[in-house]
Amino acid sequence: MTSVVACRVCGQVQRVGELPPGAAGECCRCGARLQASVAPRSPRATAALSLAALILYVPANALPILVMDMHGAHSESTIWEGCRDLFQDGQWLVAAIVFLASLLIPLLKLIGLFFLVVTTERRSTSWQFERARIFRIISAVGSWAMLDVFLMSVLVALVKLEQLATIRPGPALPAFAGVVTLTILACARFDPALIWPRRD
Amino acid sequence: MNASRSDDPGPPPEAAEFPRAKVERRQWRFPVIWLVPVVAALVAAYLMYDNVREFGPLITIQFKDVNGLKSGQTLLKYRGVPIGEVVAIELRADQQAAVVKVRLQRSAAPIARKDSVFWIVRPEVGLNNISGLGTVITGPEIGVQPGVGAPAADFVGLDNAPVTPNSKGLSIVLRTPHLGSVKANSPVYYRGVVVGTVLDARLSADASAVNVHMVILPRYAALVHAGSRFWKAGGVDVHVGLFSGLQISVESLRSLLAGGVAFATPPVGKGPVANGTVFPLFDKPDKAWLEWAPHIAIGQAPDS
Repeated sequence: MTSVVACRVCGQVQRVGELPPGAAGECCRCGARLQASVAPRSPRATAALSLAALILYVPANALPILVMDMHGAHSESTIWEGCRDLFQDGQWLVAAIVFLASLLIPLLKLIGLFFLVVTTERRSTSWQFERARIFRIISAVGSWAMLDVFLMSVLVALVKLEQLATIRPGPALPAFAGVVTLTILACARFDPALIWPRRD
Repeated sequence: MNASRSDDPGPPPEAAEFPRAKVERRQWRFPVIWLVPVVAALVAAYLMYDNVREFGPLITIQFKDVNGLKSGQTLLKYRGVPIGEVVAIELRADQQAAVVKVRLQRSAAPIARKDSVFWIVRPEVGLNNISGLGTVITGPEIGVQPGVGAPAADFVGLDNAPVTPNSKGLSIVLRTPHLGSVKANSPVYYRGVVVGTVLDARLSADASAVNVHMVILPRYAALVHAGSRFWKAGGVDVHVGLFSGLQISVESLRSLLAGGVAFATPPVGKGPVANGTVFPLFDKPDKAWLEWAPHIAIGQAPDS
């Protein structure tokens, strides 16, 4: 099966024949890789990055994210404990935001990414429109997911009363930042063209 | 659109005029991307391990009253170093005491021994001493005096801090018919220097006298000899003499308020005494006692 392709770099139009698996077309003039001749990126990278994010999700939630020293009194709290304390203090709006941004949304993102990986790997043709939409939502949400890290950075910078009170980030914070970064990368590496496999 | 997909109507008719693209055989590549989850797993494992590494044994301490203690906040301190944290407080099954669970740090595990003593440090303002003022702001903390017995995990805490948290000194008993102003925590003076503390004062078994238990700091234990004389240092001594005028002698302001015990040792000592030796406690010192000035080596180390 031969197709006609224009090189993205130099514009040379050329024929590309049937390629053996693992091979790629090269422009006959400038040597650049021909985009259309490459099989769409496999979701392997997305799968690997999502898996890494899932692994880091465990310490991000099991370990304290915030360590507070108030004149000798010492307190550590995980995301869930902080959420619960906020709720018990009657700050249920803030509690809901923290719960959504820190617990639910990262988890939903991971579930969504795994769903996309599995369905594209199986070359599924059902729910294609919905899957495309899921992908767009995950990409859009990415830039807001660092809410906790933003919040912690502000808190740490503000509350440094040395003797009286100190807030330090706990070991969960780098893990949480890792989860968010990895999901963003996983999402960026996902090729939405995979949702629409060639019918051949 | 720079590509014509296979489901398009097919290549345009002039397709054959275009040059043919080269084909690059792709080498097998190491799937670098799978290193990311491996690294993530290592990082996660390290973070978890780092958090758990400090964990030592969990001990329980029973107190009558744990007012002010908070789980996750109250610290167990020894020599000012935080060595553990209260993780849970609950009522004992019979509701007669509170059970405090403390997570020790791994390095402090040897603190928990059979005869270790735990108490709650609260602010205390008395005539004798002001202590634990830091806990006004931080809330109470748990103090410990480690023992030497076999490792243990269940303890019964004291209601108050032990009087001398390093009571390795010489403990002796004074007997007096009338207690006067001497009471627990009163200082013990030798030539005006505080060398010990009264632990408590209570009636003897047959109620015929008062037994005053006191402890002399280890460094000064050698000052007490079999012939030493003890008297009550509290109160004011007023002498009115024809030539000396009015003489008021007070051991110290603190002894005036809190009462105290002073003692002197004769120059010809009869040797050190054993723990639990009983001495009489006099109301007033003899003039001669005050002039005793024996040379007793007590060393220079200011170590308690």
